[in-house]
Amino acid sequence: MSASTPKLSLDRLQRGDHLPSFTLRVTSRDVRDYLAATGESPDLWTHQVPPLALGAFALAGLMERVELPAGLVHTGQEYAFAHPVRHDAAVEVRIRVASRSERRGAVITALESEWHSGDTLVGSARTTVLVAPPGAEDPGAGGDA
Amino acid sequence: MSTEASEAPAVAPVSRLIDQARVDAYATAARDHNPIHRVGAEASASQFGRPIAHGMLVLALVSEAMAAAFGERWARGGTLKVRWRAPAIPPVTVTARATARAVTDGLASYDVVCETESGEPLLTGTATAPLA
Repeated sequence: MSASTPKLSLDRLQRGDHLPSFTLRVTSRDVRDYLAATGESPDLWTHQVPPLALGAFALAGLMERVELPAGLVHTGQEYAFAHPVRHDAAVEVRIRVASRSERRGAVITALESEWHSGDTLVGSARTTVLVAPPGAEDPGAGGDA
Repeated sequence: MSTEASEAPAVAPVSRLIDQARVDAYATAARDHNPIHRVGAEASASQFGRPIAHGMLVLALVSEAMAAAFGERWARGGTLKVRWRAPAIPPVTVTARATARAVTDGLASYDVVCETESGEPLLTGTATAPLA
């Protein structure tokens, strides 16, 4: 998984923009390493990708393609898992900017993604991030970045 | 049609120590190398003053709990909607809990939370999963 084009700038994305789609292929080794890191038993996932792992790899693909500014906080996340994905299956990730707003100097962006395996929608996600204005001590939430 | 919360399968809580070694392993495995998660100058200069765990690593405990209760159905119709409330600062033992709310049209719904040993919520939200 690698991005071959220059990164997009998050602060230049506008509502309705589509990011270039990309393809994930989560291997058995990827699943093993992911589960070893999270601590979850691999027993359920000998043939299928844990759905949140797919979400994590899709998020990593997004981060490879979008330049994330300092002070960015991952404030919210939604997932709908529609269909199990087998190890090594190709999954196309399509992302668009669902909304972008400003509140007291903070910029809040929501990115919606769909994951397709062939003609099948296997899952979707909505990722909300906040970029606090310079000098802000409380970004409004405290999760990931 | 909505029925009582007692119709929803129980979801056992999941607790796990999130220390810096786990955060580093997750960064490698999930390919999230944001320096805010590593020991170093950038994490020290952040608004948190030290490395924080990946929010997705904390959320993984919720997914683990739901998968344990629903098996493959979790991957075949599960949903999550969460908001992070506070950073998980390693080392911290995090517990994910899911409290049944209702069963509606074959979907069991839960309030979910991940909290520290002292009960501080790190994330809150909802999860649903199909009964069949």
